[in-house]
Amino acid sequence: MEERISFSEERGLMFQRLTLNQRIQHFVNFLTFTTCVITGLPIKYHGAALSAKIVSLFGGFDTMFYTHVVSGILMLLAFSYHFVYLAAYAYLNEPSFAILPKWKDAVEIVQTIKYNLGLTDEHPEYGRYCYKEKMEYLALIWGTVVMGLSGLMMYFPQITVKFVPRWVIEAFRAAHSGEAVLAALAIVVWHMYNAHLSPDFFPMNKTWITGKVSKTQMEHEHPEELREIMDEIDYKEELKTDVEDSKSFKFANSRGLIGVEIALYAVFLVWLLKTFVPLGF
Amino acid sequence: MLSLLFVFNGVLLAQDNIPAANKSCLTCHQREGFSTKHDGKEISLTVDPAVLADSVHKNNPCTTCHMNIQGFPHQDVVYGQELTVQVTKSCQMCHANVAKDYKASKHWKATKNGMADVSCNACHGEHNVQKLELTKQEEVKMCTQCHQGAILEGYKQSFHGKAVLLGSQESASCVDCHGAHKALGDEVAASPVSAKNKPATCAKCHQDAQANFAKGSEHLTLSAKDKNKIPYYISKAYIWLIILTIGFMLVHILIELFGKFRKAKKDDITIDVDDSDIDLN
Ligand code: HEM
Repeated sequence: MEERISFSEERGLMFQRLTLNQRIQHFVNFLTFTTCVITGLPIKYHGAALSAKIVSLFGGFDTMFYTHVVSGILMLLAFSYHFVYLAAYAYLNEPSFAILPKWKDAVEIVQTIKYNLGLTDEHPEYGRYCYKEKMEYLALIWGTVVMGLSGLMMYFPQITVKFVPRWVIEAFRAAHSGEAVLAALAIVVWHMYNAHLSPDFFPMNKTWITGKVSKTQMEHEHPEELREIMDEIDYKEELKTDVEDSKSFKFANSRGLIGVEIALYAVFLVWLLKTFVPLGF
Repeated sequence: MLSLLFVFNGVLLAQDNIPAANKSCLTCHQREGFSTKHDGKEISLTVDPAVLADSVHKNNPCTTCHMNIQGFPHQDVVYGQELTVQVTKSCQMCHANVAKDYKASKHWKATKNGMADVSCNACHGEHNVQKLELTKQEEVKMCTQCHQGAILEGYKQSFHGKAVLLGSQESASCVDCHGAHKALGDEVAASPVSAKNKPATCAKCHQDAQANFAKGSEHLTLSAKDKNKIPYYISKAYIWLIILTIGFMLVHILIELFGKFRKAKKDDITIDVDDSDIDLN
């Protein structure tokens, strides 16, 4: 078992956030999802020059497509495992519902935005999961269900039509195609910001590899959870709490980085509107 | 004079695999720029001996196809569509089996009535007749010289079409479903794409495809005008879902970055969480 609380000379007290099991789940999902995106989008945008390049990278369409389906099925296996894992967790410990949205999250979104607009000086105190993380987790569940269901329906049409008429496959195909773009953009925008480009973590939040979060980060990201952990444990006296995390937040105050990112996301927003808003109506 | 011509022949026609009878035809017909006028149009009469020598028909006398030309000067010469029909009729002298299918087809009807040239030669070549070993991509290109509009558009949007256009060697091309010589139209019972035969045609690739599987349109375009609007509206709904979700994310990130930019003046870590109530010691 990994220690719940450990100590690092450079970063002070370290809290276990992701177990090895969870990190492996994240990694498998990362690999299979990325593979699905790379091998799926060329089918959607079959006229694009980049699509032809990706196809030839795989040595032909048929290999690319098998790669798509195989990595899709692996993704679904990992997804199924996740629910076995949740059930086992609930059985061995207590079931945890910390990831589910609560009224508190709505309040915190509003307060976070107000804080960033300078309308209040009080930053909300997030618990184990803040609304950003909840949104992402729930989007992953929704997305995997949509992609998996529609993907399997398309790959096994003979079985599907035993239950539904064929136009239903066509409807799910439209969903597969749309959800793919939604999911890929959500990862590029939301996940890449929260895990990499956020000035708090730039260039990368390493928790997905180490599984650990420093006390300084906890105070910053999950103060309410930190308080709960500290209330729970009875060996507080033995902990060295005076070492500050010297590794994190290196760019948190870099106006250069923040300025570049503002430009980047502004351009992204313009691109989004130009690409998707149907002005031709 | 005649003997002089034969001497010439020997010099000019070194290709010994051309039947002797053809050599005399080629005496005139290999001359570049050899042409005649018919209905005010210039018609080339030149045949390249090299092309002829390369064809599967290289051992046939010219008169197997140009049956009515038996002497010199030629009698009853026909041109254009009339020639096409005449030559096509001569194909069946040897290719009786295929000709039976072809003669039942819409292609023959159109050719015979002068609506279009979809004769044997139109697909198989004229003097360069070859066994057609087309890739699926070449085949689609050939059929879509005439078959364009909604049919082509629907194919391009289907999985079969996307796959073939991206180079698949497994997905279905035109001929895989419609057959080559027996292009009948789906209203004819004998057609491979008639309501009766469709399940069997699908089952060539999709094992145990039942009637239900074959029910539905293949050349479907996503459009509000189509009898099936649901896939269309799902794809439209996804466009708006993408605009709203990703738009929200980008705006949220931008607000956060503006907040961080403003706070970055201060030297210390930015978020002012009141942690006086976190009991660390
Ligand atoms: C997050 C994961 C996935 C992504 C991002 C993704 C993406 C895509 C995209 C963009 C297309 C092209 C759709 C089009 O416009 O026609 C596609 C096609 C397809 N995908 Fe996926 N996919 C994923 C997962 C899966 C899974 C789990 C399966 C099934 C096991 C699957 C099976 C298929 C099939 C059969 C097609 C061809 C259908 C068609 O285009 O008509 N995919 N995928």
